[in-house]
Amino acid sequence: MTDTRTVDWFEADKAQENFATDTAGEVLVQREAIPIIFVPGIMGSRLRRAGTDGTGKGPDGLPNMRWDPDSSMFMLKHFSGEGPLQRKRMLIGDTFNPGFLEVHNSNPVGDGFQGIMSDYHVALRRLRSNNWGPLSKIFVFPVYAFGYNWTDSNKNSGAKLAARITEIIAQEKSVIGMCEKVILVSHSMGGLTSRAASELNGAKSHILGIIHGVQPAMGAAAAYWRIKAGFEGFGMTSRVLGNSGPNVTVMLGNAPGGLQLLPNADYRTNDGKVGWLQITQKGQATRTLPKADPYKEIYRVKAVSRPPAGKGASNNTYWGLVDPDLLDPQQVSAPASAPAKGKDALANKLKPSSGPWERYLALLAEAESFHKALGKSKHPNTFSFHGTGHDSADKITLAIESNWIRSNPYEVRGFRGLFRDENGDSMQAVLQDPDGDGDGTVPVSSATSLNGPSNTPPGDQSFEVEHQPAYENRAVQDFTIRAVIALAKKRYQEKRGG
Amino acid sequence: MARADEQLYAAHRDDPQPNPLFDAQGNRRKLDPNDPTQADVQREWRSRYTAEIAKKKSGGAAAKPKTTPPASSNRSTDDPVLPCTIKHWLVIRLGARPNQKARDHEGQVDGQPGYAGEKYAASGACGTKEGMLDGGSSLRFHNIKAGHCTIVFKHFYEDIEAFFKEQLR
Repeated sequence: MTDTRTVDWFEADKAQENFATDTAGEVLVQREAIPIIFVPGIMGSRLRRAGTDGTGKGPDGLPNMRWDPDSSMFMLKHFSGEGPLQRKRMLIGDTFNPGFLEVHNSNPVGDGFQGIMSDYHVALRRLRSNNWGPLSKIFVFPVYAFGYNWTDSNKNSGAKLAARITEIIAQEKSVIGMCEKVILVSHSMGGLTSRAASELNGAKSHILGIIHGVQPAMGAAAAYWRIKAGFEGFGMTSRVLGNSGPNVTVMLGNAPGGLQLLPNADYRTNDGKVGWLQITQKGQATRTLPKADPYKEIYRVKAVSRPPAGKGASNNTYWGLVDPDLLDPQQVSAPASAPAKGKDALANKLKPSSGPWERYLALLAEAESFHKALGKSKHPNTFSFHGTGHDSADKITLAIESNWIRSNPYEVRGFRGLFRDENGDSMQAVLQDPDGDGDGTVPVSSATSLNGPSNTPPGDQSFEVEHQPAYENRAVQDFTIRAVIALAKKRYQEKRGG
Repeated sequence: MARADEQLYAAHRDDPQPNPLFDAQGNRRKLDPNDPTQADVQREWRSRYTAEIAKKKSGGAAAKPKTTPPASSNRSTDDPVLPCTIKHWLVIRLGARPNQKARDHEGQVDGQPGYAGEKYAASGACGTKEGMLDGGSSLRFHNIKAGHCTIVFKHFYEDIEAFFKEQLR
């Protein structure tokens, strides 16, 4: 006869009474699962055409797989060297629709690893196989990944993450026997998605804490730089992601997820300035933006990158974020329709009958609304790390020079706003390379903007890492493990006191 | 020595198990001179060992073990049989509750932690004792009174708290 008793981990030191002699007794500790869910950054999830299995081609003649950074061949074939039209057809379709793409997950989703780029897997496998020491007496840390449609709004992705958290908790409860909360580990834009799940979609009470890595918490001026000039660098990455303003504008300018990476109203430069966009002449700033509202002062200003025909000062607003002519290379859409009213306003504005600029403004309004709703809110148990030592766009500089020969504003990895000055002379405002401190994409100021002044160990830390491969760094992985331990300690204290 | 060992195990093979020489599955438990639960069988082993030595010295004839007369008793001759002295035991294992089912994916492998060396305190029929769980995460009491025992793992969280302290300096 066996006398088996199950005791919750937080009561394992309670007396177990009345074990009868001549009995084989068992005291079984009911451990608690604390799932770790990794939320990748923009372009870090594999996407396919919704409703397909990602194989073959669709009626539009394009592959059903739409974004697969795990396959160099796929990315080279379908993105490298391709222009705006192909990029828009692959990722946006005629007009943005959140149901156009879905994550290339397995069915069932399982651990979700299939849905994210495998560059992340090394760090996740280390988490999965980590020796948690005596914590394994009371906790289990199963590791999951959450891929998401990064073209969509982070609010929507956050809602999906909140739902996935509920599913994972239910699964782990049925497997382990106890599970109430998860830990989120985010990379880059995954930080916005994670905070959206926690702060805007009701998942906070199911989240033990969030570990953010290189999060553009208040946005990244690199998003402006890339929309104007393409992705930096001379390697294949730039060619695949888009190495010119037209190639990137068509992707990020038509995707709410991309627009939500823009600096928000709380964004500051590394030296604490509100104005992050400077136009300079002979080293002196002639214009600094925004004064207060980047949406009104920069993002809703149509970028007119060439002066109109004529003479005299052109006053064209080349510094505006988006050139309307670059939004819709297909030109499938009719000009702007009558304005929509009521709750369906956004959906109406996104209809093909709307003009590209009108649709862009609708998506921008979504981004602004998202920024305002999320603000500086964060989960109360937050740890984060940021990268340093790499030139990053904490501010944007357009340096005015004379222009004798240039006529193309959109060169590869470059932008020059063409205009005529007050004397009628041809001038150019040349976008300067980033030179602030950060991880190459997110400046220190934004990545540290949510840091707590007295966070408990391991606190918020900096590492000399680049943005994309940040989690491949061993020290970053060590930090993540210590942050998980710190969050486990919080859970321990919730149940045990102390 | 090996012969004395074999004789000892053979003599107790059919005893109720678990006992000081066999676990609940019938596997031999290692003879350990420091194991107080094996005190009785250690005396028996010494006796067998001495007999084997004497047998060797006498050229093969087995030395007759010394016998002692039965203890005197004032029991009635109508009821001459002494009641059997029943020896009681208790084995308790500490473990993690096994997974209730498999996940829908195979990547995650949950190790089952051992609780070997976990400190316990026991009281009741087993007497008042403190000790550490053995390599099988179990405690074993033999030759104890019949009754009930209470077990407490009162130091269960000490290594966990020390781990937090060390990792989060």
